[in-house]
Parts: sequence; C-alpha cells; structure tokens
Amino acid sequence: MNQIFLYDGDFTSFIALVIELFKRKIKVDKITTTEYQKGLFDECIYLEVKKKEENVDLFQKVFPKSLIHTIYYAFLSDDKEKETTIYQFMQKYFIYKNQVFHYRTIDCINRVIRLARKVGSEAHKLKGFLRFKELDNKIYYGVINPTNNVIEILAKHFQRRLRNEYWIIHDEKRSIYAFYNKKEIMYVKEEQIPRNLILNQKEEFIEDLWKNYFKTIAIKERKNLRCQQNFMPKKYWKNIIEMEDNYEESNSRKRVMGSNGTNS
Amino acid sequence: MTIKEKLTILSDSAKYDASCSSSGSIRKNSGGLGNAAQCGICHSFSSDGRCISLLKILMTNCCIFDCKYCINRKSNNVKRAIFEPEEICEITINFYKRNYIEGLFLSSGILKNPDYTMEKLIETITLLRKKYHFSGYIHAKAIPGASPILLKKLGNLVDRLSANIELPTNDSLKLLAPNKHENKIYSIMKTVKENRNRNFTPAGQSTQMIIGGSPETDLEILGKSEYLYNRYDLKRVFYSAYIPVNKDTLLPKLQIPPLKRENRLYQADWLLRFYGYKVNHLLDKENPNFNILLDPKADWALRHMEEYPKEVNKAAYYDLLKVPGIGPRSAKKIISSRKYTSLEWNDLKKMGISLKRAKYFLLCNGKYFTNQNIFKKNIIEANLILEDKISTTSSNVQLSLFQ
Repeated sequence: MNQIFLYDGDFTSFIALVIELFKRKIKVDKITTTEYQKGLFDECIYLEVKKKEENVDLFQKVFPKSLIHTIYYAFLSDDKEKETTIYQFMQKYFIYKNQVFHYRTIDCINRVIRLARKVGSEAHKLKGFLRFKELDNKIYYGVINPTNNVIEILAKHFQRRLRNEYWIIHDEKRSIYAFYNKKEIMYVKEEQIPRNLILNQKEEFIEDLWKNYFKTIAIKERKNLRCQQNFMPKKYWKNIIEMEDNYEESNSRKRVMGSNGTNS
Repeated sequence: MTIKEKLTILSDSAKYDASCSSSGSIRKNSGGLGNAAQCGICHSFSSDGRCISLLKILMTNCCIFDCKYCINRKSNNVKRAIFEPEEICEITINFYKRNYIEGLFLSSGILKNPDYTMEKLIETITLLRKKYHFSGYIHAKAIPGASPILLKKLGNLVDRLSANIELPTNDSLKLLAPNKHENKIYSIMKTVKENRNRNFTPAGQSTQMIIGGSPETDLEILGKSEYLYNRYDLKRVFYSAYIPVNKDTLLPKLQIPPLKRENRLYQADWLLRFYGYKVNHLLDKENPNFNILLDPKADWALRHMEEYPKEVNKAAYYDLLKVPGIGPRSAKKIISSRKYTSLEWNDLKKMGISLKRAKYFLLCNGKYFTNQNIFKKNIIEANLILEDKISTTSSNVQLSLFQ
C-alpha cells in the first residue's frame, strides 16, 4: 500500500505535518491535500499534529533562512506533486546540509529550485502587470488570475509601496482577497467583501489617459507584436486595462472560429 | 489644450529615447508614496515590444536647438506644448497609485536657455518629492550647458541622470547637432561620476547613441561605449536605430530602421559588461562591423575554433561564458554543481541549461554531444545562422536581472 498523508492545504499545517513525519520516522509515499482522489492501492492518513506551533518553531530553527524562502516559494506553486517533492528536498537537506543547492543533478533538489524560481518569476511579472482601480471610497482594487498562488508575495510588495493607501488585491481564480488597512494585511474570503464595487468618478478619465499614453509611446516603424506577447503573455491580458481590447478581440475571434459558421 | 492632448504631444516626442529601465536604486518609502525596486519592474510592453516601466515624457517639446535628426528641432513645424509642474505630478501620482508605472522619466526640449530649462525640471521634481512625498523611481535628463550647481541639485533628487551623446564622433555631432558639444556632455558625466552616492543618482547614469544616422562603423560606436563605461562608470549605453523623422540632405535616406544592427550592438554591449570581452577582441580595422547573420559571441567563437571545445567540468567561469548559449546564470549553475558531482550532458539538460547552441562548443567528461565528425566549422556556422533566424529578436528590451 502507498502511504499518503493528507493536510488542509495551509502552509503551516504542511510544515507541521512534515516535521511530525520526520520526528516519527514514518515512511511517506506522498503528501497532498484532502482533495486527493484516493487510488486503489492508496492508504490515506490524516495525521493529527497536536503541537503544531512547536513543530513550526523547530522548522525555523533547523532550516536556514534561504532554504525556508525556497521551500515557501515552491509551496506557492500550482504543481500537483509539490508537497512530496518538498518533503524529499528537506530529507536531502539532512544529508547535504548547506551544500544542498549545489546538488542540482538530484531530481527533487532541482525541481524544488525550479518551482521556487517559477513562482518568483510570476510574482515579479505581476508586480508590474497588476492594475488597481480607484473605488469611490478611495480603496484601490486590483484583480489577478495567476497560475501560482502569489498573492502573499504581491501583498508584501504593495505594503511597502502603497503604505498610505487602502487597497485590495483579489485573486479571482482562488477567491482570496488581500486587504490592506494602512497598518496590516488581512486575507479574507469572498463573503467578507461587499459586492457592487463603485468606481471613482475620475477613474474613467485616468484610464483613458493611460490607454492613450500606451498607444502613443509605441514607435510604429518598430512594430513587433510577437515580442510584445513574449514579454506580456496573453494569459494576463484580461486584467491589464491597456490590453483589454486586444483580449476581447482575440477571444471573440476564437469564438467565431469555434462556432464553425453556425452563427449565420 | 487638454491634459490628454498635452500628454499625447509630450509622450509622442519622448518615445525615441530608448532608456526605460527602473533598476539599480534602493530608495525606500519615506512615509509617503512609493519605493524603488533594485531589480527594476516592467509594467507593460508597447506594440513595438519595448518595455514600459516609466512615464516617459518631455516637460516641453519647444526647443531652441536645431538638431537635424530630432523631431522637436526648432525649424520643424510641429504642435508644441508645455506641461506645468503640477500637471506632471498629478499624472505621475495617479498612474503610480494604479500601478501603471514604476516612476517618471522626465526629459525636455531647451526652453529659453539650458539653465532656465534645468530650473524648471528641478522645480517639477522637487514638487513631486516634497509636496507629493513621492519616493518612486525618477530618471531625469541633464541639460547640456546648464550650470554644475543646478546639475548637483537635480542629482540629489533623482535616481538616475542621463545625457545623450547622440553620435559616436564629434564630427558627426558638429554636422547633425550643431548646438550640441561633446565636451558639455562629458562634463555632465564627470560631475555625476564624482558626486554619485546613495543619495545622489543611486542608479547611476546612462546615455544613448543613434545608430545608422551617421557613417560610423560598429567598431567606432562600440569603442565609444567602452570608453564611456571605463571613463565615467556609465550603467548603460542605449542604442537607438535611426528612424527618419525629418527630411534633410545631411541625413541618410533609410527606408527601414537598422534594427538588426541595433540588436547586434546590444548583444556586443552585454559582452563588454558581463562577459569580460573587449572591443578589440570582437572587432578590428579589417572587420569593423558585426556579422548581421550571427550574434557577436557565436561569430567570435567561429573565428577562434582553436579555443573550443571547452570541458564543462574544468573550464573557468570566463571560459564558460565564451560558449555561445551559456550566460552568467548557466555558468554559475555549472560551477556550483560540478563541485560535488561530475556533470554529464543529461545533467545539463535537467538543470535547464539550453544546449541548442552550446552543444557545439562543449565537452562533458571528454565526450562530444553527438558524433565528433559534425564538429566542423562550416556545419556549425550553418546551424547557428539557422538558429538565429528562428529565434525572436528582441533588441532593446530591458533584461532587468543584469542592469
């Protein structure tokens, strides 16, 4: 039987579980969230960790900062096997200690580094591509649909940058909101945010100004749409106001092609 | 005139400046709005594939100079506009809070005289820093010929200063930009270099050259860049393919801007700054221009086949960097990994090192990538040229990691 350990999807729970598994020296085939579809040869175990905080403290003591950073970023990835890979990576740390990053030829080490890199790179892109709209109550509201779960990285970035503003970052895909009240960031669920967001009066004017700037600044003799798309992938266009028109255009083209002429 | 009309005129006339980088500064949020990001952040990409990081505008496109290549020259009959300092601040702040931009790039035509123009720039940026408490990134143009006291004032307010050298030789400058003098540009660069510290232009200085507007060779252009990097500690030299905006008998009649040439110069510029190459390695009097078909590094490698292949497990850092397809990141990965294990071809692949080009110039534990017989200069050259054609060319896009 495969021993599969389940947890609730939260980073702290995951860390607490892994440390518990190390402590008890239990054989692990896979770690994944409770949403896992059980297979024929699987034995699913939900291990209750009594001293969660103690385990997390231990984790912070045992592992160096750079390693924790890499593990945290890899954990934010949307990779299906990430938990098991991170678990194996941590096992390797006990063997290679601080040299662990040099062993790129070992699969789980290489994979964790790459997952962390991917997450970091998407977060970096969205630090640029995220667009806020000003609501009539002076709150700045931005929507994202990232591949990886980067909202916490973004929130920390904007906490430093827009520290005297109220803002909300909304991960539409995961239904998570990061809300900043000029003091701290709070992560809240769908229900706690009022619907019917009303835009500030001058919002349309500013957006128009920006879209116009975006067009003017391009040099037409150098037009290179492929290059533009390489750097600003289509999957983000939906939430980038200056690309909204292109997004709708490319979508409607897809619809027409998909409908195969039946709309006549 | 509405704000929108002004912004259209004053961004349209600023767009030929290639620089848009926002990196190299660690300015912190001082309790107001904004901070700088060390690695720089691209916020958007315009339809020409160039990064938009800063709000790039002129304070005014009115100008007393008459540079032949410039759209804003005195003798041109174009719509003119002037931004008030408050207007610039309002747009910057509103764009910044919505995360459209990383900061402001403020340049200007020469209004009345250099000192007057510089004072107006200082007034605007002071307002932005002091009244609007803006701690985001600011790049300002230094106006040649303005007093050093004003230059020092401006330097204390901004993250980066730049003065464009425009043309690689003084002769061309005299011919095409009769009001500009090389010495005035150098004197700005010297002042910036001598005063630079964490409060004075923390992100350093840059400049720009127009490519293809005058008869200089790549050797002369890159030679000038090397001189500027060494002499004035410039962070970047930008290259801007000449785009004919004016009709003038002194200017070349180009149909399409020399984008490929510009691309090759950027590649070579990278080799100077991060790969340990010197201009006289890459070009000489017999070969004063780059091969348009091949990137400068591959071209160099093919002319020095006796230096290859390099052994992955032994080659020093700068030798690895001489392998086409291997950059600083891959070289560092190799050096770090081979400390504890000897690397095979498969390991390189797993580590995400691109072998498309590198495979012709490397050995792993004495083994070629495939059959040794195909390692002939002409076969490799044909393959690399094909490769170069297929890959997208993205000439002057900001690669924030290395800036």
